[in-house]
Amino acid sequence: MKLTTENKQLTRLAELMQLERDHLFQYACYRLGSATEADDVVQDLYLRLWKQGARLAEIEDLKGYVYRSLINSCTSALRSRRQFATTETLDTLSSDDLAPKDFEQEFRLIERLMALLPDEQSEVIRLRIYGGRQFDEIASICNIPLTTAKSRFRYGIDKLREALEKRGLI
Amino acid sequence: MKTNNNLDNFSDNRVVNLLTPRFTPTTSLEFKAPTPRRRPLWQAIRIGTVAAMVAVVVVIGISGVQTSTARDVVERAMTQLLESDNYLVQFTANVTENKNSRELYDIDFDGTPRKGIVEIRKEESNVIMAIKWQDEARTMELYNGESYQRYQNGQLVLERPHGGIDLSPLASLEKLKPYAAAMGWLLKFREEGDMVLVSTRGDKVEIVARFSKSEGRLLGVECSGPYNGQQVTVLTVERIDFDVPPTE
Repeated sequence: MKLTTENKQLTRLAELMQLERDHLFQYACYRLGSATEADDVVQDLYLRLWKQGARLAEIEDLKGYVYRSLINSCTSALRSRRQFATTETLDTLSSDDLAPKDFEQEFRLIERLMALLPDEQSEVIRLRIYGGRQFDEIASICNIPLTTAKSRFRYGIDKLREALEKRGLI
Repeated sequence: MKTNNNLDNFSDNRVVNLLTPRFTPTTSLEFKAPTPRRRPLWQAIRIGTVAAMVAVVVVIGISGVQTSTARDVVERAMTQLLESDNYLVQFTANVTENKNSRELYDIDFDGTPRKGIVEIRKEESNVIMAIKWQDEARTMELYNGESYQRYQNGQLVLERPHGGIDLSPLASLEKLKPYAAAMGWLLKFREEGDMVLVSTRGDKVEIVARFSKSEGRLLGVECSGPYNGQQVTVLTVERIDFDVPPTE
């Protein structure tokens, strides 16, 4: 059966989302700290993109577009509740906290570490570790040169190492 | 140009290890390609979502019967929605059973008409939605925001951790307004004789609620979409009741 242009694009979208599902979900999980919310955000993202139908053909780098949209969706979700949430600092971090036993503890640890970094560095680290993106993909998603993507990652990791060493945690 | 995508060149393994996820939850989300020329849109819109949309549109429409401006209608509807602890929506939908689906039934232009009741109940900040089908197995699908449960003949037959339908917008005005906007629920109000028609059209789905001004009551709601060159009705709401005692 012949596919319409819209169906072709929706198929392209569905296949990409299915292929990237675990990374999209994982990124959202470790950004939002809630599997349920991550599920909703990824699903809402899919529906929003789905609504574009045949216009998806105009998007050359669909994968990059999907990740950019996910970042924005997560940021919006966080912004709506940020006024009520506070991130703990590293000052109260103990060595026990470095060995989380479940997702909740692990998210709290990661959130505390990420809070030490400027947004542009934490975003690159999140895309690399939770989104599973290569540096050239991160460069494309964030619209920055490849060298900048790498250096932001390196500076971020260095800063975290220094902070943890200073507190005798590693 | 050859690019270097390895972490090892400049990462500190101890820090990277701390950041590496070990307890990532799992997801049951599935993204399926559309079937050509059949249900191109409805696959993405599950019946629970449609039912919730219908419930909200009906609420908005009911409030509109005795008011004059669209702004009044929306404001009063939001108030009524928030003040009602629960409401029941009786509907008939054209459905087909889909064993691979996250929900039992798909809305389908070629489906069989089946009656059901959507019950939406607010408990503090939580919103619970149940769809009770008038089928042989007396299927009930329950969404509590955290899980999806399916009961047949009173027995739990399926439970999944992630409901997938975000019911939280129904809990508060602050959430409902942006959610409705995000879903593209652009409400239109018009009068035809004794009738007030409240309609919303997102994508190819159109929902129209009809009310009698003189009788001050809901006449019906229809949800339709294009199929084979025609606008085909696939879901009809016959009645909505507010603040009825919760059922089991």
